[in-house]
Amino acid sequence: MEVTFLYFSWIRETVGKKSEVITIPASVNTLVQLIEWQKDRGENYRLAFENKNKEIRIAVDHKYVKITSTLNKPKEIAFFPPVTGG
Amino acid sequence: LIKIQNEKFNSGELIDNFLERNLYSGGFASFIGKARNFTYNDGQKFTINRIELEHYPAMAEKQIKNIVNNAQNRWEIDNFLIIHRYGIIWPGEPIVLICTASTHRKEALDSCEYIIDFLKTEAPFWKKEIMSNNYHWVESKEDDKNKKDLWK
Repeated sequence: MEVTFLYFSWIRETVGKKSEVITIPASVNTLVQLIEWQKDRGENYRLAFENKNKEIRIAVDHKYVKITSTLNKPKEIAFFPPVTGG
Repeated sequence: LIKIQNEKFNSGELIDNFLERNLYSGGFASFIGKARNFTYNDGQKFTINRIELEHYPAMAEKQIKNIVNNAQNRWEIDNFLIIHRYGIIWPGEPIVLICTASTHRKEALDSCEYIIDFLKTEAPFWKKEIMSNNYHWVESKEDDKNKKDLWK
């Protein structure tokens, strides 16, 4: 399945890109699996997604989702740290 | 009205217009969040040159709408105005303005506080504080989360 990934804040800086269109392999069905898969895509991804001291939030099609959720034909998945606006 | 913009805004003018547009509401509340010129990092005070606010445009507006909908389900709100900036913001400039109008003060005050509490923890904006020769991403505060949780 082809999905747009978006990265924000220090995750964008560490990955080194704002967005990319990715074909997720059929073996990846949950967000936990997706994070594991991301870590294997290169050193920049490993650094961004393996940082255990820093929380990562995920939004699927503009809605917050739990890391335990399963992927249900998403169009856009965003990865970012806890928000700090206001 | 919800507006997400880069441009600096004049809080006084916007509040005046809001008052006029809601001529017969009896209670109004507003919150203005501004950029400070200092921050503390590991207990040490630093001067901030400017901040840069990154945001997720498609989600930001939806999230703020959700927050307002939830507020409207809790209180009788006649009208609201929310402006949030992104991009470069200089110390002293406003970042966010929230206005609520209601029949009485309690609904206006409570809904205004509710909206800023949820906006702080759910609207997808990220603040980068830029000092003279370095920068850091602001980390989310446990206090903000605790404050939001008090509304449940």
